Amino acid sequence: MKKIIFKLVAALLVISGLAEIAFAAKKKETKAKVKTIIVGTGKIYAPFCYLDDNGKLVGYEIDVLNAVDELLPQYQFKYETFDFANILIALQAKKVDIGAHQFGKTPQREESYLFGEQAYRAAANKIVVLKTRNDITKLEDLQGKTVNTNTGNLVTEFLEKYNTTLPEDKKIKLIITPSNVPVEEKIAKIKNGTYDAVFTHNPADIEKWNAEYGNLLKAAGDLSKETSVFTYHVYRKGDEELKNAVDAALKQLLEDGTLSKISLKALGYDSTINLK
Amino acid sequence: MPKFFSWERFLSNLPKLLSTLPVTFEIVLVTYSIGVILAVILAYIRIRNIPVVKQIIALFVSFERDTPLLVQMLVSYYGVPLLIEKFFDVDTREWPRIIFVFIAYTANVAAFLSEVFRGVILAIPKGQTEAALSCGMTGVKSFTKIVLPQAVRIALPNMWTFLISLVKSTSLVYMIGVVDIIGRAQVIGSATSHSLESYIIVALVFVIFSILLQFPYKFIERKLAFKNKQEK
Repeated sequence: MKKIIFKLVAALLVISGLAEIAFAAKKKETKAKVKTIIVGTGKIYAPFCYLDDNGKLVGYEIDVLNAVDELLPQYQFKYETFDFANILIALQAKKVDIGAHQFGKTPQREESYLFGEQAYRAAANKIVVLKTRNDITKLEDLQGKTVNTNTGNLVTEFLEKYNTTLPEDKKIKLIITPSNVPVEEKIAKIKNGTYDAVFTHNPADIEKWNAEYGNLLKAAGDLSKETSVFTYHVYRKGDEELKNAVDAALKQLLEDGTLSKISLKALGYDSTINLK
Repeated sequence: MPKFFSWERFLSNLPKLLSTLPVTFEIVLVTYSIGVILAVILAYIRIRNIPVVKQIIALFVSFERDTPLLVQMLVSYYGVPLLIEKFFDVDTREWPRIIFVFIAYTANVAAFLSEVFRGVILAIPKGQTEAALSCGMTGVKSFTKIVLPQAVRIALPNMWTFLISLVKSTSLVYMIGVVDIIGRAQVIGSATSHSLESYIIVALVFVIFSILLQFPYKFIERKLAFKNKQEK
């Protein structure tokens, strides 16, 4: 019995050793050529990253990175899709090299990840309420109200911080849902009064929801300057080379107007005005 | 007046969602068939009391049994590649994700069914093995020819229940980005702002699928039962 186990272990070691050599050789070969960069994005976040009718990945994120890719001959971008909450995990697990899902900078995130310096979209977070309501127009009006936000986004973080400055009876009641909860739930709950307000940083959302669900909603002003979104690509710490290359390409795209063209095409409005 | 539910969307989503069913079938077929074979081997090793290996298997089974499948899948997807890279220096990033689903689900099936098999193999009276050995059969032969056929008959209800539960647990694979029926439902929901119709279809598909799976089971069970009677 012992002999068999010994032989098995020995055989395994030999095989793994051989495999290592074989694969190491293979890896060296590919390194000399164009480096493949895997981009982690989402697929249920229209119009930024989603699948079209044919199951093809499209959206603003993809259009921007494709344009960047064209300027960088040393890299080739490939796209992998994840649940929003999992992209940063995938980045850390080396599954992907760039995270692209409308990430905003926060101090906590910057502790663990490397952020690009050139933002590629700017937008304000709007408060969205029912058309029939006129009592909410700014952040202070939300005190004591119930709002819906998504896990892990800037608004949630901001409102949690804001709540700590308020007395107990004035605190905003946050109902935090995962980002993959269907839109219907949001609309149905704001319609029946469960939520007093929801938020979006994409003005096209409100138009779309109104078209789909019967002209219910309106934008009631910006939430706060602190939640104005500047979105960046996210990299692993230590990946400066890639970051600098993408930053430079983005700068070029912004200056020659390509970025605003992409924005007009993919989003329906120019979201790069405040970037310059 | 736009509505939350419309038959139009229901009908137009139906073919899109049904077209993802092969993914579910593939996962179930691959993981269940490999899992069953592994389970028999694991159960056999544990019953034969092979030292060291037995303890490792006990640890493996207890991990698979005591952690949620979702966690196992995430471990397989994010953890296993790191191990592979460390020990074999293989870049797994461009491997299709479904491979990690296969790894996680096969391990889960193997662990659960190995416990089922262990129970039923032990339920076969020891006299059967002793009789087979005394007739000159080898240990492995007495196991595969005498004990296993009887054991499978007792294990069948549990095995089939587990198969149905496996079909339903495939609905988790969208979490790592495999576009199965739920993944597609989410995608449609995001692109059109309407998910209700898709989720209703998904629910119906799983119900119909599970009901359909009961028919072959009844057939097999009847066949085996009939054989039993004749043997008596």
